[in-house]
Amino acid sequence: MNTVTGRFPVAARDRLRAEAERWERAGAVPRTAVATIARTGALGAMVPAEYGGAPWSHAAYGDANRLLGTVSAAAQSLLTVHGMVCRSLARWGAPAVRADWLPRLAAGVEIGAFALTEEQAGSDVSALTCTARPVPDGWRLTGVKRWISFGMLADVFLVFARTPRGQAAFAVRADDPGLAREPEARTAGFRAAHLARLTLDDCAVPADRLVGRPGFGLAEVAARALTLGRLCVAFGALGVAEACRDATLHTAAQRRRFGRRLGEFQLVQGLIADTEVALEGARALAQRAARALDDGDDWAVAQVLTAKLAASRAARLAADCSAQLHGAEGLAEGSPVERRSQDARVLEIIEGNTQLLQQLIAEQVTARWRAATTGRDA
Amino acid sequence: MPDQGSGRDVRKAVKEFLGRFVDDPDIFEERPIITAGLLDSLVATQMIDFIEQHCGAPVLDEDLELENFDTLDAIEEFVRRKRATA
Repeated sequence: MNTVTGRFPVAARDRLRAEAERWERAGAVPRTAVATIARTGALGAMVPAEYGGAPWSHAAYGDANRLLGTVSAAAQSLLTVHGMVCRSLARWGAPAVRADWLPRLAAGVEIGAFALTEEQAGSDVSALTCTARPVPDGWRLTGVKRWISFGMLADVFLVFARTPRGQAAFAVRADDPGLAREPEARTAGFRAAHLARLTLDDCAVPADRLVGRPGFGLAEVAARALTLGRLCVAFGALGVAEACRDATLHTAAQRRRFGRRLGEFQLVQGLIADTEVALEGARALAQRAARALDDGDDWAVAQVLTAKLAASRAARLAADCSAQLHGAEGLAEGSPVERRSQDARVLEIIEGNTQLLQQLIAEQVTARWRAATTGRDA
Repeated sequence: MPDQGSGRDVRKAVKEFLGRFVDDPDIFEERPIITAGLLDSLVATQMIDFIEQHCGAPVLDEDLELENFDTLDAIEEFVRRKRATA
């Protein structure tokens, strides 16, 4: 469905950048910023035209994530979760839900959030304990979802739960009876990302809110959504890394110690070079992964995993180098350098932590090698 | 695309695909593919893509039932049915 019709305007990035520190202090990306993002068309980028969207290629959507990532990783995470919800509903939602919900999501009038994680089911999503009990007119959902990005602002959720016939996904409205939300305790990173704890207490949802089929909630809906989510995080991490690199270069050029600019010290040049190599390597991988998804490449999944791992590491390295160069200023709570350091740490955990990704990459690479050595689809 | 003369080609192709991810795909002659928990969810998704792209069986939303994909017999039957109506 994806075609190249969109582009995140640099002017929108600049407008948002001017406000980003205020969001961090307030602990929330405001609705006005969401409206600015919506006007770029990015919130409708994963919605088919027949439902009011204007689909973007993965490359274009990735670039939107990168640009927003230079502003704020918290704001960028909106594109991750909203995009995953839109794509899942467009692909698997019941016709009535698609027709009713998607136009508002595409316009950004409503926001979607992805409610998969539980306290004991993060990397191991098969351990989820939230249940969906079939009743004559639909389903009753019970359980607790944790650390849901944009959960405090979202109007709709894609909730994953266990049914008698396997895991399934459900479209749930924030005002459905039996759903309550409260903010998570302030986290070190993603401070403005509206992280929420959702409690579903026999939450009643109609039959047509089932998204996909029981048994395929993880194997189809979550797995495909997470591939998009990982691509978004990879590009968002590139944005964080770019911002850190720029801060490093600025300080290296301006700050003087021992009678010389910092950038004249070879050890500082080492930090700059390491940052650049990690960033540009990750950029190449992320762009390759986006193209692979756009082209329907058989091994696109492996490329997305690789890009996410490389880009989140690049962001962490760029943030560490930047913090090191900024000295005490880089540790001051609320400074842009400190914020990006904390956000970079989050990027190594969300949408598959580094260790899980290493395992999945090894599995995919081994499979590709086996396919090549047996002469199929090398 | 595997030879479409019989369902056996599908069984062989899917086992070859699964053999990329497990040492002995013959294990799926006796155990379910998706619900046994031997594969992660990404691989299950890739298997469905493989069946769609390489076995001549378009997978529609309504086809996504465990009954169609959880065993080699079920996949063979699903592809046979799809090919018959193509």
